[in-house]
Amino acid sequence: MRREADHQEASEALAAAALDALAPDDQAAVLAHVDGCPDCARELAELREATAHLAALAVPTGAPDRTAADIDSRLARVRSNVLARAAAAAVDAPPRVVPITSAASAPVTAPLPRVRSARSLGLVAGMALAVAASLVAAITLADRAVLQREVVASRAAAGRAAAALAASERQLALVTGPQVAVVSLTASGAPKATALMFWDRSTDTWSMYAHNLPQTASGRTYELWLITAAGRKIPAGTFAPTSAGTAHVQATYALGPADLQAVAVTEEPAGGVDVATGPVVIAGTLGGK
Amino acid sequence: MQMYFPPVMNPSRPEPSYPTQVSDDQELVARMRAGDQLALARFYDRWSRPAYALVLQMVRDPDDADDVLESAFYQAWRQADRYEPGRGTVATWILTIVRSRALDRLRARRRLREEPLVVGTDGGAEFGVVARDGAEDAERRELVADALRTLPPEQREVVELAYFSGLSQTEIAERTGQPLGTVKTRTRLAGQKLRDRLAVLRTDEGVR
Repeated sequence: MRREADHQEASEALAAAALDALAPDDQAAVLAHVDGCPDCARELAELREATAHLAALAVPTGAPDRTAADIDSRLARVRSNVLARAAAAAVDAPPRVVPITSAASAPVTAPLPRVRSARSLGLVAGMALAVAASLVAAITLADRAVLQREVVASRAAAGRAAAALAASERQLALVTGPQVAVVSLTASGAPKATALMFWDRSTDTWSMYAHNLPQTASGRTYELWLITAAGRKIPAGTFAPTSAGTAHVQATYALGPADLQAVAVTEEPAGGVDVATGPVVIAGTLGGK
Repeated sequence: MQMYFPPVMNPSRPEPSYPTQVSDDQELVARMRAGDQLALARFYDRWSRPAYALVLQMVRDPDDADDVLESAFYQAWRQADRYEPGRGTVATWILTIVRSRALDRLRARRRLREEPLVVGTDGGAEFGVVARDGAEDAERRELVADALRTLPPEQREVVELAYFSGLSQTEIAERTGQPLGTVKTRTRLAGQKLRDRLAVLRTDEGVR
């Protein structure tokens, strides 16, 4: 039974609603009133805006060994997962640009069929869920709380595995297709960083695999650039190397067959920039010109 | 040794703007809505640090925080079409999503076991561990810390328990031993003061 709060009741509870501190029923009743009351809607929006600023005061404590590098690597891992999920979900509507960083560097041996449908992904997730569900059914009186947590974890793991599998399949297809051109990137400095960039012209997809990349300094990131014959430098995503110095970046960008002058990786402030400022770490031209 | 772009790649005339150039959050969200995953990457790079600080503050466990952060940004990607510029800034939008997912995690954990309650901010002094922000952000943080500091301690406590620990007013009343009516009044007063004192950010920030 859903009720609607009256104006007096709602306006007194708006701050609590903005803080999500009402019981679910009360929250629903207040929001039902807010829907039809422009004054309350405006005030709630202002209160939400104000309370959202409190996020700036977050003080992450409780893990004294947490270092900037640990946080960087966690943020980079979550970034990969988010982008992989977004890419996996975009099977129906192909992405325009997909930068990915990951440790995965699958050996390239033979051409594979092109991107599989999302069905295989669903199958993997479905099987994992079925296993988790049957576990729950079999042990009825066991510690339900622990099982619930495990189901949540299994579901998340299945989702990640399926996304990783789909991403791997796509990556293989993108470096082995008939219309793939290859750019070899090299460094001029002492650390022998190298990379290969595969440009699949049939899908305008760019896949770069790098090795021996030094770690970036704190607050810095690598950024990939496509440089056109006309001198335009197109940012194609930021990335961080793994601890082993490898990286994989994938981007989709349409360029004419003769438009590519070079590919380069620069070091930039964290978050990336739209116009390159940092030194070139590795670079190469099509056909090694 | 540093190597720079050769001149041919560095034209002296101004570069024309091109599709991947990003100037603000609203454009990023609009591009996410259109399925542009580079925009999602940029959006993540811009917001993951403040978001992560908030999540860590709330859920305390780094692995849980990773999960929450991932689901929040994935939700932002899926629901980019729900962002309405007229109803608030991108900052509010993403931080609200992030906090909601962190609240889910907190409340799920509380259902499973009694969660030890850790409360408190110090006004942001230790925030530098995660935050890596510019002067403008530092200024904003200082302003928010000031606004919170000027609240009477009992109002500030209510705000912190609700915002960072995800407690409902009823739970706050139980924890603090105060009558529910008192907690409600404190919440209301604190909310109004914060809104008034942070109004300057609203106008400064515009539709960031």
